[in-house]
Amino acid sequence: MTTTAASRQAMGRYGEDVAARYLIDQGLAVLERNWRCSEGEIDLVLRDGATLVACEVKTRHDDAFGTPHQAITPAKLDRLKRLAARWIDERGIRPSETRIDLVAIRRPRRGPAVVEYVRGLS
Amino acid sequence: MPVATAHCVALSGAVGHLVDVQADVSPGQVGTTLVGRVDPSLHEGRERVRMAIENSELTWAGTTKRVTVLLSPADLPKSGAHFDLAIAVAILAATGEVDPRCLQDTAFIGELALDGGLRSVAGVLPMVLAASKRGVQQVFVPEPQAREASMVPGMTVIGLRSLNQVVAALTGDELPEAMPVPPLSAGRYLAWRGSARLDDVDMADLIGLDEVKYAVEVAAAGGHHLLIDGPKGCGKTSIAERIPTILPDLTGSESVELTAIRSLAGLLDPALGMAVRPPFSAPHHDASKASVVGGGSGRVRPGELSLAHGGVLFLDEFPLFRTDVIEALREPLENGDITVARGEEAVTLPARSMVVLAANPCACGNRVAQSRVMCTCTAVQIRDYKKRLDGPIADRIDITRHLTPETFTRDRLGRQETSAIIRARVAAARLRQAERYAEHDWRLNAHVPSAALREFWPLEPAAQAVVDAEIASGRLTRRGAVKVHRLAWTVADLTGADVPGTGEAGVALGLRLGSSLPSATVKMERVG
Repeated sequence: MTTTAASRQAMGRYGEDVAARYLIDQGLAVLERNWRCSEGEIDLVLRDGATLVACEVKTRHDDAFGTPHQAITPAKLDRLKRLAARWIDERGIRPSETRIDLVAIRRPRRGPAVVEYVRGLS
Repeated sequence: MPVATAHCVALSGAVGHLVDVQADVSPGQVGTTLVGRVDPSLHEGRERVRMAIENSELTWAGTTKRVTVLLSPADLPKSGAHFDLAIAVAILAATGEVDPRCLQDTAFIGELALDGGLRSVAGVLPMVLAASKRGVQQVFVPEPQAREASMVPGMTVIGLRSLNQVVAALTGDELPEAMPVPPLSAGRYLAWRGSARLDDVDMADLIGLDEVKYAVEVAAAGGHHLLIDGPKGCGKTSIAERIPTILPDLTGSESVELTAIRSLAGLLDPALGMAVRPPFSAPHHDASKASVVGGGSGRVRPGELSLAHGGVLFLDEFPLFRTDVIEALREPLENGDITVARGEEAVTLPARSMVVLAANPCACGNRVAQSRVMCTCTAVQIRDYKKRLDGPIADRIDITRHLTPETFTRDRLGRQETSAIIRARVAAARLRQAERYAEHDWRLNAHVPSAALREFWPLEPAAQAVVDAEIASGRLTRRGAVKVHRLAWTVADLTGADVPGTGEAGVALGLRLGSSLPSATVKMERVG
């Protein structure tokens, strides 16, 4: 099967929808989706009680290029932290804590998708 | 439970520490960290363990989880690849592949290969000994080393071939097939006149040489150090090689110590079991300090000195040994152990052997009064050689024997005593010593501290007077007087006398000072 830019985007979009629903079920509130700035993008910005959560969503068919977890390199984690700080600056909100989460979605070509939620990457 | 603990052992010389290998597998940024003062060979274990688990078709948690492995006590430096198995098992237990409760009172020793196979490691016996002292009841080792580990009493030993087999054994499943583990490949280096030849030699091979044979018998009976000098070809090496044949079997504790040392050096042949016969070690005079006293980079490897524990360390042509090697022998000659200090760790190994030194009278080996061949040494050579002969080591030698050409021109034909006969006398003398020192932690006269000797086991007053006169005349140092005292006891133990008298003291003085012995003494044993 070939992948095109459109199919990749659709895949990402699907993953973000699944992740948002999953996190809402977990009791988090979605503040913003796909927030962009010059440095990059936060897939989901959420509130978990008094904590601001910047959530990265990774959707994969399989682990041929590594697991979603392995895609979060130290550099990527740093960037997510900077993005969260910029988001806070821009919105003028003062959360007591900030956290970076990961939702890893494995969507095999057959069968149901599997969602794994990693609360707090560090 | 994302945390599990498996046990392993860290060795520093003769001391083993039980190490808790703790693995935590929890969500977070993926990666594997190994903490607890691990050295590079152990650090590479992360990769070996990861590949071994993946290639064993088990779940490697490190692709989606953060894996942290701690080797505690965290401040103890650890090295060696034998931690691999414990690390792998701890990680598998933390992810639930193995029940963490199975790991209690159990130690895991072994290196892992990438295919999940186990590899033999050096030092299994001392590790299992240390684990046993700390209450471990069961140990997993690579298959070829099960026999070595079984030498430790009361230990349940499970020798396996692969990580899959270890997991199956822990979960109670049927053991899968696996390739056999190759035995440890290591061999002696820098050794000559190897032990194999010594099975065929006997004291009866040597004709004459009664005086030096007697001296050797005294040395063997009391554990005294011995120096034989004489022109080349007069039998120094032949005598020295036959000393192990007159030594009795090792005692239980010596046997364990020697076997553990061999295991540490990777020289243990598991097929032979525990060491029983006293070892003979004869490093070449070109040997490095590390090979003689122990050391090396990375882990401390026991030297020839420790490999001769309980037996004989023979230094042929000892004035030709490098000065640093000779100097390093000073302390072990007195204390019976060797401490190798490197960087921040100091490793102590047992090294209680009989040291036998052989030397030529000069560099060319012909400088004897009666020799028909002229000595070709220059005056400077003679002076330098003499300086080495009379150095600090010579003073720590109990018995000195000069072999002269006369000694062997007096050869007679006739039946010579066999090693077995002499060994029986040596064993009897050692038994007397063992009874006398039953309440102390030394067994032989040579190892009795001088203070205890003076207080509890003095010579007869008349005999002491003979020794005192020698000190007054300057022929004997204080240290020499203590050695004469010990020798006198050994001479008495060989004859069966209760307290050493003037006769025994006289013989002891002769042995110490290298003067000739009364022929009655030398012959005495042979009458019966």
